[in-house]
Amino acid sequence: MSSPNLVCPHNRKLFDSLGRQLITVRVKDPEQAFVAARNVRESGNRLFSVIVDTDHSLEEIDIPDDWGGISVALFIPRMGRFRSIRRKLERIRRMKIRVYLPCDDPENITSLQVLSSVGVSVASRIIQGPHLWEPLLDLMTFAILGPAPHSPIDPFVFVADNFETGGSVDWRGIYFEDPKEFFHLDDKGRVALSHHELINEDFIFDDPSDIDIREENPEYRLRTDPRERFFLTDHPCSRCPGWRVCMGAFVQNGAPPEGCSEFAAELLEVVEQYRGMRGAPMEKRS
Amino acid sequence: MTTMIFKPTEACNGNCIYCDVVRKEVTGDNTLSLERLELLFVRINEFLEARPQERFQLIWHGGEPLILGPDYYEKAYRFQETHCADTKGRISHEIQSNMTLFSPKFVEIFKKLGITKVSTSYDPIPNIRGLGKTIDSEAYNKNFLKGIRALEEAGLNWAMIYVVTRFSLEKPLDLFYFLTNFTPDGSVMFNPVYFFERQPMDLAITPDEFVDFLGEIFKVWWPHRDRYPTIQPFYSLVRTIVEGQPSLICGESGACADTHISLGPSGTLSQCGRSSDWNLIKLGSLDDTTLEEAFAAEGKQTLRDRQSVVCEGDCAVCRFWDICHGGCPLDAMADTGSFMNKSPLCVVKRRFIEEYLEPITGVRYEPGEKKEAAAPSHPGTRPPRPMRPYMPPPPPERITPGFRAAVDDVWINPIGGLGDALMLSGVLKAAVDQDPKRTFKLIARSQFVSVFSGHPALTEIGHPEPGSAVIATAYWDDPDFRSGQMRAFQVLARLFGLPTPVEERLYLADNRGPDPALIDRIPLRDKNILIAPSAGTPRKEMPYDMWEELVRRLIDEGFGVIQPGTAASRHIRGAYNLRGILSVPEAARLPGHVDAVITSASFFMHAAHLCGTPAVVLWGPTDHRQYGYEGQAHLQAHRTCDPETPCIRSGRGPGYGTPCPMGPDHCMRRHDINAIFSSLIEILEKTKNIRRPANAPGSRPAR
Repeated sequence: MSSPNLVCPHNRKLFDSLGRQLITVRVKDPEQAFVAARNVRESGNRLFSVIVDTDHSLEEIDIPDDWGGISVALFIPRMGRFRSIRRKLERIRRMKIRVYLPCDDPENITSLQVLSSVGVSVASRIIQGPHLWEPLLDLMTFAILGPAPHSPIDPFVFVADNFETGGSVDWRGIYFEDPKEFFHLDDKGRVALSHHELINEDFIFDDPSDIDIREENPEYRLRTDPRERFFLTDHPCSRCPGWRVCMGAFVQNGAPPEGCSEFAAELLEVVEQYRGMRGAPMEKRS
Repeated sequence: MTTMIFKPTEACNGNCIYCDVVRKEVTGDNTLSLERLELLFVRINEFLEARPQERFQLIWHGGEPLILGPDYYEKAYRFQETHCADTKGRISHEIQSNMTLFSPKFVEIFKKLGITKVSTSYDPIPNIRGLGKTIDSEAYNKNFLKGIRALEEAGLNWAMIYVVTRFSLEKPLDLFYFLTNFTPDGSVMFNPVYFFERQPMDLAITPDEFVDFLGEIFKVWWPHRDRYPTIQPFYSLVRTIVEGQPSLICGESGACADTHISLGPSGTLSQCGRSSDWNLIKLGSLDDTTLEEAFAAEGKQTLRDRQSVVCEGDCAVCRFWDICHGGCPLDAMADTGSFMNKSPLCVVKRRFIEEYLEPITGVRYEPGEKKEAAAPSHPGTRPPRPMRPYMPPPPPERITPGFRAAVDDVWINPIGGLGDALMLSGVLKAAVDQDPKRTFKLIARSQFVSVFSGHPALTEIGHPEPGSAVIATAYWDDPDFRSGQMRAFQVLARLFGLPTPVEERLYLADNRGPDPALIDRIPLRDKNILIAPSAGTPRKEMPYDMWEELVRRLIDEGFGVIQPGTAASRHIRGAYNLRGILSVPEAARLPGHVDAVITSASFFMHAAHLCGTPAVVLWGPTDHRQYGYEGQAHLQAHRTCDPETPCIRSGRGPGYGTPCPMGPDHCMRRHDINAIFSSLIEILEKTKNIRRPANAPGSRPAR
């Protein structure tokens, strides 16, 4: 069981009440990122990351110097004009910043590729729909098989790097949405298993201390053991050829969106092609 | 190996719709008494003492064997310890269970018995496998999941056997994906449902239906066989037909009379599990029959005689005889009322191979030894084609006869990994420095060409004419290396006539490092560490979650971290990724641009030595005393496995590309992140004022 990562709003009182936890703090205003990080650290907790979830484009955000010592997940709706961010690139590259873009717009998918090509770590927000599967397939293929040097485009590179034959990969952690690891708290300390559920006030625990005994909670087990959720019921994901690299990540409101199975199956094929490069010469000794 | 299908009980908490055992009329004891359990181990011991080379596999079966509770297994273990003191090392245990009764209470005794994997069954189709009179599959499935979860939490594994019934035929691929997604490593064995004397039409399938079921799956499996490596019967058939390595199960080996036996709950010895379930081929009672006597019993002789009868009769013209031997005699009995006929399921194998396997794989099976078989060991019988055990490749001839006489034109056959190539390059440089007239030629192996290009000891890199003098570099076959008395470098040096011990200096003729434009782009910090988690074999690699923890620690402490390696090696989160973009010489020089290296026992350990950069090296299955360089910090994790079975040493080739079978007990998991970090700090302090050797890149880019 991995140690829990608590995704919290920027609330010093809440931080103080937790004490010695691993915390990811979510802010809307980019200028609040450093202050939020400092508050987490000063409260005796350990900082994992700061999520900056803003409506501004990358073009509109000034990347402050004080982001240098923190890991920032920058959730933005669009990149903006490339020529306007040109001067920020060096700074972004030298900081621990990953740029997250939604993929419901072809322009964003192109932006992910552009940013990756100039050395910026990016992630496509493919958990949320609607999905443009065809452009995403192209992006995924570029991300994993593209020979030109580029920064990782997640979740594709994460899947490619972590998939082993016979195994499976859960990549929702990239979005802080893996319920085995990430717990989303509101200001009152109530706990949800995803950001979406937090917004809808669909809480699984009323108190953060319940996280320590989470395995005793049948609902939690149901939510975190994919076999219980998908294999004990007649769920279509259990029969999906791409299950091993998806594990139901696309499921919204209980059902998989149209086209996700074909996408996941293709992702698995590409990952296997990539992993095929690895080989394991039998005679290597040292 | 002798296999006993051991049915200590016929009681079962399940009521699977196709099971013959739960419908069997109870005629004797339902559970094997403890007295007979003890006698069993007495019998096994006397059997093994009389056969010093033999091994004995006990497969716990039922009924449901877990219904006996952990104490029963504990007693079995005690009896084994008491009565098989000298033979227990040749006894192994496996188990087949429905897993609905498994609990953590079984873990300890399973581990004592050496059980690491449980074979089980599952069916997503409702009311096929279930509990109670109503065959409640919902309750069964929940208990099943609970059982396998407990099993996995204990670090034990499980594999799936799926019984194909009429209900399965509708959507073979849906079932295939479900089962392979459900099992931890995607291993599934498909068996047709078997019946004896009863043929419930709603469940039974014909051989042709089973073929077409398998055929639909095979079309998908063949192009993805790396993804689902152990799907049976495909895996065995492909090994046998495509790879030419016979891998036959009991019913098709033609040798089951001499390899299998079973024991039922009332002490009755029989041929196998199915013969026991069907009350056929009784071989006597354990109470008054030794296992040796059981193997000599008339029922066994009938099965041996069957081989010649079927071979000359039904199967006389069949090209698949070598891989079928008339099929399972129990199938023949169930279908025709006689063992002396071929199995009706032979159509399954023949049609499957001819209509699916051969056209899809493009490989046609050609019988090998049917007519040229050696004289039978039993009069009147044709022996089964012997299965070929794994044999490691013969050690290469290190020095051909012409080598001693030859002065020039000796070809070197470089074998091993890139680290070995750097050592060899260093040895050759020492050789040519000692005697500038002494030159060699190198057999071109593409992965090594860039290491040796421009080497002053080489006059040619290419391909020798037949009969050329060749020297191979498999130092690991040298007795002094194998006994641990000589280091790899010294063995190589001795091979090339250098007086040992010799100074261990590596050499790379190509002294161009990574492109400065690339180095300029790396976001270096004041202190920078190169990490090299990959080692060519997962057995030498520290688990990746530990590497991630280490990288987090390094970054938190203000270090810059860069990770070179092959494109397909795994990226460690947080490290600056240089995988796949450096040539071998560039990668070899990269340590010269960082302050220290943390590496598995691999190429970058040698590269760090080449560049004179301090290194912390993480060891496990291999020994730092044989490879590691002086001045480096060597952290040796002690092996958790049997030291008598060196996991990746000479002659252990097939283990090299596979993960450590010890799972969570893999020795590389014993490394301690704090210790690695402390060693790093220590070695940085110790070496900060030491000058680099002359052949190391002396300048670093301005930061």
